[in-house]
Amino acid sequence: MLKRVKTDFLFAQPSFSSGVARVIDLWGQFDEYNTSETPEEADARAIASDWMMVGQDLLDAIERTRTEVKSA
Amino acid sequence: MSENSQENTRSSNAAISAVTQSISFSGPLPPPGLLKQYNDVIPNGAERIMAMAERQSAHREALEDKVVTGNLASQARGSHYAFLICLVSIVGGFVLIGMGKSIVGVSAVIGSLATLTSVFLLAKREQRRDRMEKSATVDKRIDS
Repeated sequence: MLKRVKTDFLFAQPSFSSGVARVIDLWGQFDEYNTSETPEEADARAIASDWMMVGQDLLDAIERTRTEVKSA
Repeated sequence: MSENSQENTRSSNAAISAVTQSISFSGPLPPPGLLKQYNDVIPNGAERIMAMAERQSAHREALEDKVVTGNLASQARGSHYAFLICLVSIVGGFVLIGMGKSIVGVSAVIGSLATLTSVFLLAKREQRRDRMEKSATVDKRIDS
């Protein structure tokens, strides 16, 4: 089964330890983001990711309906 | 030709004429035919599934909002606490140096800075791993 896509794929989740690390981050070196080669590629990946999320939600709903139909 | 061999020929012809149908669909959304089939099984099935998917999306977005907001608050707390602890430790270290306890004072100052540097490097590595994993998942799904 394919791994689930997350909507926040451009950045890492903030955490307590990243907050601690920021105390010493005086030159703004801590934050990094997932980048693409071109702006077009970045747009394409973002749009694809959004539709994958919609697809995942739809598949979840279908799976739930299938379970309900089976149990009925 | 005997009756038995005729029977065998008929059954092999029947086997040859069997049609195998396989449908494949790729894309981020499930095929529309799948939804249509649910209309045949349950009344108004496709519309009910779409409504459920919309609720699921809203629920997921609300959860993501809570997680990101919570993590941002946790991150801010981490900064505040670490700043206070280091401030106390570094100021205390200088006070100790001023009182003539140089070794303990210098240790306190260097220890605080070393701890912060270690946390910085570890957290950065953890964040990079998280980002790369998410990016690889999206790319894998796009390629599949």
